[in-house]
Amino acid sequence: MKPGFKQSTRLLAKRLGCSSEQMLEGFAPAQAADLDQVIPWRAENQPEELPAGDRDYLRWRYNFGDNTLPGNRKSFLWLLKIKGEILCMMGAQHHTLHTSGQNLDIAYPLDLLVRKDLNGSGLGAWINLAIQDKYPILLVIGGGTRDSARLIRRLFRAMPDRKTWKLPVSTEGTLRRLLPIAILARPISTVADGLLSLKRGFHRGTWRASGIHLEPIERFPGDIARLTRNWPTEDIYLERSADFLNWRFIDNPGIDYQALLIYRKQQLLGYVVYHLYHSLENKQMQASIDDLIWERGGGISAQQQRLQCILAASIDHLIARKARLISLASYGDQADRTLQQLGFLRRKDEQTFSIFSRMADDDYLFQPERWYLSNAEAHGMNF
Amino acid sequence: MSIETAISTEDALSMLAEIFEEPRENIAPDIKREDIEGWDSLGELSIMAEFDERFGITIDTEALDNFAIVDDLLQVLKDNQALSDG
Repeated sequence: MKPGFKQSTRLLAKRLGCSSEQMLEGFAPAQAADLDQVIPWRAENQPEELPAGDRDYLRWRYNFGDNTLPGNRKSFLWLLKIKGEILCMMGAQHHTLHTSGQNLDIAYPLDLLVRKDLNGSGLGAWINLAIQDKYPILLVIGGGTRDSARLIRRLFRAMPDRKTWKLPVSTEGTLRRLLPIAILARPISTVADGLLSLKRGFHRGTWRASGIHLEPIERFPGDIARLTRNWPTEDIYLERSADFLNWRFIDNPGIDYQALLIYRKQQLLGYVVYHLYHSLENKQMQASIDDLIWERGGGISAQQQRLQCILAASIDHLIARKARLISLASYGDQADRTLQQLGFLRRKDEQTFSIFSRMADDDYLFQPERWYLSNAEAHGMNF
Repeated sequence: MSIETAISTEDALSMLAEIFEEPRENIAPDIKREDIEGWDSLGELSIMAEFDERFGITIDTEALDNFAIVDDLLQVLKDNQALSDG
């Protein structure tokens, strides 16, 4: 049971000592002139310390003033301001969803923050309702705290969680952390790593025999979107134009993403985006595969084989770059079987995916088997 | 919109279970706020909305912040003659 937007506005206005009209008028996208107020406000009210470069992040994410991102997509940071004071904020990133031969405009809510002294006042719920009042379709993907995940599940319609996977390459770091006698970690990991390496050797033979090669790129080429042209029309996925991919990954101010195009002879088969990071927990270099798109022409078996070769080649590339654990988040059954065959294990930290829609005839949106999502659609400071 | 005069304690507990999205058996007068997952900021907003719409009761928000158990909510209904058996 969730309250209506108008009713919530009236009740919260009373609580905040203002009128409903003041709340509705005070809810507007941030302008360039707001940035100097927004930056210290976020630093003060963020529950955890903000990463350095918040100003760069906000400019990249919202392009204040113009609010247009490459590919002609809009992005707004909505503020609730009463008497010049910011009470809460939430971003809305516009995107294009493909399905059944049509394009739908959708938005991602992100960057929700409520002034510290107003936490628990209902403003977090209210700003979600206010954003729902502005946009016909919203998608929320990602982790967040347990409390925020619960709030989202109740305000939106929860879909099955997005699965996250990990492929151990070297087990020593994990064993050292988990075993009661740390000295045993090395001999046990030597055996375990040898078995994992044998398994990878088998897949290495397969992808090398297939004639696949990888090409690191600095920017995505203009025709990259053609990779999805053979995807089944009933599938639901987010547009991946070169403009979007270059903005989302290559120009990202927070994370140093790397992109690989994957070819068989001269034919482009797919691409992989990843980033490397040093895990403080396992004290080793790890890699996250953040986006993966592959050509889906041919039958199911040919598609599976192609995906397996692409992933196996990418894994070898990441191991050569010293990754000792490789993780990946995906939504959609297409990749599950292949990931298991390659030795990926399910992680416990699954990520929530929820939808809000007030479109007519929108049942197709709530069929999880139709969706394909990677980390490309996950938004927020850490992405 | 018609405002109800009074409901039974049993109906009030069912209403609260629906607001907090909890099974009915998990809601009883002595249950603590921290043991009800749905009693968060959305839960509070929903209580305010439901009490306002259904009974015309405006809950003092500072008091609402300090409520510790389900019975505190029943007491609001009782104080406003909205509990028929209270």
